[in-house]
Amino acid sequence: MIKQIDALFASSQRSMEIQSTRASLLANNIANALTPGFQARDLDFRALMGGLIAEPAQLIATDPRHIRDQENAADAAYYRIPTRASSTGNTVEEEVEQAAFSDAALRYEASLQFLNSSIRTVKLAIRGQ
Amino acid sequence: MTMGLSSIYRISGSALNAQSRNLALIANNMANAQTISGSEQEVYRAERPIFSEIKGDFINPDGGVALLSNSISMAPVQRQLMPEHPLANEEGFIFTSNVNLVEEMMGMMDASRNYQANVEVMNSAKDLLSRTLSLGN
Repeated sequence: MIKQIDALFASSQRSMEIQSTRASLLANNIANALTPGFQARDLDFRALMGGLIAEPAQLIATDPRHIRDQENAADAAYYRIPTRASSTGNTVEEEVEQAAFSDAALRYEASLQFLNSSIRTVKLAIRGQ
Repeated sequence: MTMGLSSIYRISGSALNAQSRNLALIANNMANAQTISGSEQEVYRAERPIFSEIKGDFINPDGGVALLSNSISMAPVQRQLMPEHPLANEEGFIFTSNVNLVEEMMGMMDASRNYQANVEVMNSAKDLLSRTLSLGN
């Protein structure tokens, strides 16, 4: 039973984790909008969420020298390709970053709503009225 | 994943600190735009901020920005022949600072816009966190 409840919460929880990591990465981009040579980064949501959606084949590492599967955010982060060049080599475009940040915030809130309704569902099942 | 919404406070906070120091630097430049000296070496020269990212690993568990130090502008200072001026040197020249007011105004706009953007980021992180705290109600 507990396992089913876990599964009910898992995807919302994972998505909130990813979106909050993404939000702090984007906040770092905005903070460094005037840093010369700074390269803006973003997170690939699909790569991080993939494990939960499709259960792709996993690499089993039995030795520390084996190639690891994508297991943390560092593997899913990528550099943003700027739409225009800047004289300082900075690839932060503030309006792009702000749009991406509000997108991350909105998705976080959506997952929060889903999680909330899952909690309500479980509560209703426990009380039975 | 150690990064979360609460790390935004640290990241954006470091940007607010860096930008307010940048604004102070610009204010000092503008205040000294008309400073006069009798020698080319001692005249006020504009200072420029040098920002640097606070680095962790690739996804940056530390994150943020720091104003490392200031560089001195190498733009030429202005020389004027004013023998009657009390600060004039033996040849009758006075030197005015190399502060470019247009450049400083642009820097000021950049700094205040970046400050605003970071305040907004902090505000929405705060909203999300307080909504997360009331989860399950």
